[in-house]
Amino acid sequence: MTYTRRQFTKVAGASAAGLTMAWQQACAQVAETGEVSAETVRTLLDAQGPRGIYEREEEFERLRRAVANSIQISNELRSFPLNDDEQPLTIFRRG
Amino acid sequence: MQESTHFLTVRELAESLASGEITSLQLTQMYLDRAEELDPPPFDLPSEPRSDHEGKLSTMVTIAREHALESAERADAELRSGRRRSILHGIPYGVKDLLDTDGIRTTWGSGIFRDRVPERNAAVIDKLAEAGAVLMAKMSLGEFAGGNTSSALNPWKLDRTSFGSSSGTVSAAVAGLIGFGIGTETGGSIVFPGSAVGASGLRPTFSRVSRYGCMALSWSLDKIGPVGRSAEDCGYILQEINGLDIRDNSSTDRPFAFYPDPGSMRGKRLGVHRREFLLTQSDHNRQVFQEALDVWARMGVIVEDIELPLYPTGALFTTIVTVESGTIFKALFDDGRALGMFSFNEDRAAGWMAGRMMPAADYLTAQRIRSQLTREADGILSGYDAVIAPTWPNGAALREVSDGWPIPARNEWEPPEDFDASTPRLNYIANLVGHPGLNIPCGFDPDGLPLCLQIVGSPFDDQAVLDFGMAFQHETDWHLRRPQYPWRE
Repeated sequence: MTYTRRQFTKVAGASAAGLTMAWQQACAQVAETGEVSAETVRTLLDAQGPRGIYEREEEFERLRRAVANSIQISNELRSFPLNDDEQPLTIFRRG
Repeated sequence: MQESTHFLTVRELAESLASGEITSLQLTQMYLDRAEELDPPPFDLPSEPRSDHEGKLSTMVTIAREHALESAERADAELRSGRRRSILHGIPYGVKDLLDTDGIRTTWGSGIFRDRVPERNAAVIDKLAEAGAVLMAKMSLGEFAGGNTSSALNPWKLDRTSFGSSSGTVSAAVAGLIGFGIGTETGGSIVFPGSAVGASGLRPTFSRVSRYGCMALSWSLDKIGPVGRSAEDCGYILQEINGLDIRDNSSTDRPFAFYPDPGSMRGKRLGVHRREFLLTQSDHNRQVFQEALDVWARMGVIVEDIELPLYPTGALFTTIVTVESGTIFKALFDDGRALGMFSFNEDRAAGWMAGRMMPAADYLTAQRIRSQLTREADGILSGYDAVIAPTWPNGAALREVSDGWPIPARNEWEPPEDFDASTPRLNYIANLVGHPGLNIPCGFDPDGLPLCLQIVGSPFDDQAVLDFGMAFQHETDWHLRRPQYPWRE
């Protein structure tokens, strides 16, 4: 399927926003219940490309737990007191 | 040839070769015969030892017999013509099966890649060939460098873990199955298994050694380093494998020249992270560690307690490794090959995929915190020549076997009652900030398992950690203690 420029801008924008919203949704679910819903994980998974091994229920459940764990870890990092001037150790350098 | 020849250090092996007392071919044949008698591969992949190990260590995935014999003959011919490429010339070595070897299978410890035969050498393999060393075996590892999977058994006691993931390399070095070894480390995979078996192993400064041709687990954390039977061994090996390589973006042009004489240690400053010395529940172990510190004090080293900053090191590792590994191994998930991963790795694989989903901002936050930690850790190190802590608080833990397979070592240990869960760990900080770290044995626990210390230095001051290790080993003989075959059950 091909998109016109107008359609592409609309779909891509919605996808990016959708992904951000899905992660926010997952964070809210973890805060509330400690788990992430299957629907939210599927939204996040589909943004990565083919579902691959996560078509299998057993593997999908494993992933659902892993996503919840990642969110808890992210929360730990987000709450760490960080100097405003600190740059990430991913600076592109030459030479 | 004496049994003890298997256990000679790099310098001793080099002297035997240089004097003509032994040829490279004889030496190589000797190690090959010993490996095939005591530890014959191939094993099932992933290279996890079963409960029916029959007293074998499972240190090797592949023995490159023909390649080794040809290389040894070439080394001898060059020695006869007066050409000695380096101190490693003619010495057989084993390399963790994570580094590509042209024409010799490289499995990454996984059944998924049991038939993978690269058509190139990793940079380190080329450098060692240039140095005249003899590649003899590909060493077992936790699948995809799994940190907690104990691929090889522990030669000091077969029911104990050898940690992971460079366990094949360190166990073989201690058991006298190879002349020296090459391991890799992302968060402790040289020093932790080295600690379990009492090997001398060096994690060089990040970016000292090219990772080109080595499976990536985490681009921003992976290191390659030497394993031997002494700190001095590690220095000689690092001298040959370090150097700039434009094929590795992290590589830096900071040449390392090794000096085997540590000189006087008087007046040097050693920072002791005392809180980690108190993590062992055993008075005996605390005594062993203290007596080791006393060795340096008697040399005139200024030994001072230090505090390390408390950072969320576990969260940093998990975030950085899962995001990077999830990116690296994406294809395995898409085409279903990830289903072939060892069952103990299933949760790890799910973690990688979850890492892929994490917003970029969270990954960058982790790298910003890491930057702040680096600044702080460098500042602490700047006041000392080295800092030190037990590599692991206790001797190697028991392994359990379930359904015929060992439960990988989960690094479990019984902490003392007054254990403070927030105690910072030198190893994790040093790995995150890229500091060099040397593991050396310093005694034994009550069950006869080695206890070890990790000496950490400032970035690019690998010589300083080697100096502390060599000075210690000049005064003690813990690194010369050998497990006896048949290995204790």
